[in-house]
Amino acid sequence: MTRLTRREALAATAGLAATGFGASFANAQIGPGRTLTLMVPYPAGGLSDAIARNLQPALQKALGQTVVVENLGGASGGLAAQKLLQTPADGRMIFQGSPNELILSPLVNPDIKFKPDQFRHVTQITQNPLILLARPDHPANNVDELIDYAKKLGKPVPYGSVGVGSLYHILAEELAKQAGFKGTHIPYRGGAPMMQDLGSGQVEFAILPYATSYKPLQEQKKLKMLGWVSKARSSFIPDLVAFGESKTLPNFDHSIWAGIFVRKDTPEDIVKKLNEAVAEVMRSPEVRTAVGNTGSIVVDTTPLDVAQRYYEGQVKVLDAMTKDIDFKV
Amino acid sequence: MDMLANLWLGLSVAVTPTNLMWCLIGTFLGTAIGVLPGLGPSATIAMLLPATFGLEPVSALIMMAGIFYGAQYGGSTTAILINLPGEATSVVTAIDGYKMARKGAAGRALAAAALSSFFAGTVCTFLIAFFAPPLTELAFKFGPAEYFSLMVLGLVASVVLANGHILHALAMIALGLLLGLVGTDVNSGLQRYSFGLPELADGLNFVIVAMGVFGIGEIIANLEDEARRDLGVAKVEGLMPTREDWRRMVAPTLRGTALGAALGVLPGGGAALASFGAYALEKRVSANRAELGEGAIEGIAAPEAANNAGAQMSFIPMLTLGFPANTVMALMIGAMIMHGIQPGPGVMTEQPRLFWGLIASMWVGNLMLLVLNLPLIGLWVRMIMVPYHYLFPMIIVFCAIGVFSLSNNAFDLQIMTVFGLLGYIFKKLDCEPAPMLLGFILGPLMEEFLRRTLLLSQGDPSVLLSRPISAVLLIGAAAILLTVLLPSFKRTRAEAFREA
Repeated sequence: MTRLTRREALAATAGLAATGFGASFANAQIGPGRTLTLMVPYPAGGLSDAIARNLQPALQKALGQTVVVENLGGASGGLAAQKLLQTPADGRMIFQGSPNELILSPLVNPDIKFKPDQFRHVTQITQNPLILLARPDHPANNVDELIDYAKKLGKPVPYGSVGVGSLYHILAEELAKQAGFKGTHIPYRGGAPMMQDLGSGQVEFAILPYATSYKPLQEQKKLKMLGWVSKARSSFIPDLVAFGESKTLPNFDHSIWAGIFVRKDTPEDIVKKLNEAVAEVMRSPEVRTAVGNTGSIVVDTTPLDVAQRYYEGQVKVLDAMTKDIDFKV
Repeated sequence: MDMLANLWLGLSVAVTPTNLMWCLIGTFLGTAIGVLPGLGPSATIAMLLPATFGLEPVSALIMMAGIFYGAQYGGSTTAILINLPGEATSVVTAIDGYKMARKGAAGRALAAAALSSFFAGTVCTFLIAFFAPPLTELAFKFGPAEYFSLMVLGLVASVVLANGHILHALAMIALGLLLGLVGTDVNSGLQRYSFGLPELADGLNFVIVAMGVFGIGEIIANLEDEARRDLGVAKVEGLMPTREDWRRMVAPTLRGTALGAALGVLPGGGAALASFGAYALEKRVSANRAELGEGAIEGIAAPEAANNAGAQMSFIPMLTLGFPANTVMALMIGAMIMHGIQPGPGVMTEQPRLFWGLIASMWVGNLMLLVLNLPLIGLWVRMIMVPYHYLFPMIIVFCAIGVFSLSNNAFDLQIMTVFGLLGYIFKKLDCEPAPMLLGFILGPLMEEFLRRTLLLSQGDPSVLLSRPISAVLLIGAAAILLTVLLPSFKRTRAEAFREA
C-alpha cells in the first residue's frame, strides 16, 4: 500500500517536471515550468465550476503549461478572493469571478477586508441576461403593471432574492426605488427555496438570471415571466417583452457577467499574455458550445483597457446602488 | 396502465448492460464513500462530475443517483461499527447501532439497516413512479409558517432521543441551537459568532462537528479506558437477523418508511427530520420502547427506513420541477445542464427515457446495494475486531482526509479537533450528543423560517395559528410537550413529598 502510493507520487512528480521542461520552450508561459491555478470561488459542481472545467484543457493548450482548477468556496466567494491576494502577483493564480464576489461581497461582509480595486480585470468571458419573475397567479403581465400593482397594494411588496447583498437583491431594491414603491426583501439561501416560495405565492416577484427551465415552469403555473431586465429582448425567449419597451423603466438595463481576474500589481506583460490566451480559448468552437450549454452567453473577449474600464464602471454603478440600501437590519 | 408502460420503458433503460454497470459503479462508490468518514456524496459527485462528460446523460445520472443512495447505506455502516455517523441521517442509527455492535451484534444491526433501507427504497420508487406530480403539489402547500411549525414539532418530539436526564437533553439541544447560529445571518447578512474569521462565515459544517463529537470524542474515551478499548466482539453472535429480529423489524420499518416518505417530499428540510422523527415515534409507540437506546433493533430499522425513504423522495422536486432539495440534487441538475438537458418540468415529457430510466434504476440500485452489502457484513464485523491500536489511527486518518476534502482547508481540521475534545467532555458529563446535533441541524432552519414568516406577515405571529397546517403541527407539538413534561413534574413532586 505504502509502496504503491510512493511510486504514484514519484510518477506524478516526474510527470509534472516533464510537462514543465517540455513546455518551457513555449513563449506564452506564465512563470515558466510552473503550474497555473484557475481559482473558482465556489465548490465543485456549481455553474462557475462547470465553466472552469470547460476552460481548463483549452487554457492548458493555449499557455503550454499545466492548469489546475482549484475550488475554494466560502463567504460568498470571499475566501477564494482573499487567497488570491495572498499569493505572489506573478499571474500564476487566476481568478474566475463575477461582481457578486469581487464587488458586492466586500460591501456587505465587514469581515472581508479586500476592496474591488485590488483586482485587475483580464477579460470578460460570459454574460447572463436577467429576467423579472412574479408569482404564477400575479395580475401583472409586465413591469409597468407590476409597478402599478405595487403602488396600489398599500403595504410593502415582498420580493425574494438569493441572499442579502446579492446583485439580485440590490437590483430589486433599485427597481423599487426608481419606480417609487416600497419592497420587503425576503432573502433565501439560494435559488431553489426561493423558487419554491415564488411558486406558492409567498413572495410577489424576484429578479434572477435566465434559466432554461423558466418557460416550462410558466406552463406548469409555477411562475410568471414579466420581462427581460434589459433594453432589448433576448433571443432565448424573443416573445418576452424587455424593460426597454416599458413606460416606467425603459433605461433599467442590467446583467450578470463573469470574467478572469488577477492581482492588481501583476506585471503588465503577464496580464497581456493571459488576456491573449483566454481570448484564444474563448474563440475555440468547442469551448463556446460547452460553455453555452451551461446556459451562459459566451461574450467576445475584450482588450485590456476596455476590460478595465468596464470593471471600473461596474464598481461605480454597484457602489452607488448599494449606498442607498441599509444592510444592517 | 400508462404508468406500467412508463415503468417498463424505464426498466428497459435501466437494465441495459451499460447502465447496469454504471449503476453498480455508483452504488459501490457510494457505499465506499459512505463508509469512509467525512467524504460525503456531494463531494464525491462533484469530483466525478467532470468525468461524466463523456457518458450518456442517463448513465451519468444513474451513477450519480447510485452514489447518493449508496452513501446513505454506507453512512450507517460506520455509525453502527465505530459510532461515526458520516451523514446527518445516520446520527440516530449510531445510538442503538453502536450499542448493538458493542454487545457483539454488529452483524444483525448492519443487516437490519440494509434490509429496512431496501424495503423503504422499493416502496418509494413506486411512490415516485405513480404519484410524483401530485406529491410535488403537496410541497407547495408548505410555506415558511408550516415549515417552522414542522421543525418545532420535530424538535419537541426528539427530546426523547436522550436516555439520560431530560435536563441534559434540553441543555444539549440549546447548545446545538447556539452552534447553529454561527455564520452569516440570512436576513441581515451580518456575521454571528464568527470572530472575524472568514472561514466561519458559512457556519460550522455538520460533517466536521459530527466527526469530532462522535468519532474523535469516542476515540479519546476509548483510549482512556483499557476495558473499552477492544470492542469485546470476541463473542460475535450470528451475522443475520434472528427470527425474533425479523418479527420486531416489521412494524418499525413500515412506520419509518411512511414517515420518511411524507417528510422527504418537503424540500425545505423535511428529510433532515425523517430519521430523528422516526426514532422519536418508535420511542412513543414501539412495544419494546424501553429497550430503545440500549441497543434495540427497532432503533435501527425505523430511522434507516425513514432516511432512505426521505432520500429517495427528495428526488421528486428535482425530477418534476428542477428544484434541488439538497446539494446532491443540485449537482444532478448541474450534470443535466452540462449535458445540454434543460432541467425542469420538461424533463418528464421531453426525456422520458431519462426520467423513467432514472426512476427504475433507483430500484435496481437498491437491490444491488442489498446484494452488495449483505455479504460484506462479515467483512465489516471482522474490521472492528482489528486491535484498537491499529484501528484508531486509521479512523483518525480517514476522518482527517474526509474533513480536509470538504473544502481543502486545514482550518476545518482544527475545528474537528476542538469538537473532538468537546465530545470527550460531553461523555464525561453524561451528555448525549445526538440532541445537540439535532438542534444544530434544525436551529438555523427554524430561525430562518420563523423570521421569513414574520417578514411576510409584517411582524404578525398569529399566522402561525391561522394557517391550518401550521396550527395542527403546533398543537401536536404542544401535546407532546405536555405528555413529556407532566410525568416528570409528577415525579419531581412525588420526590419532593418523599423528602419532606
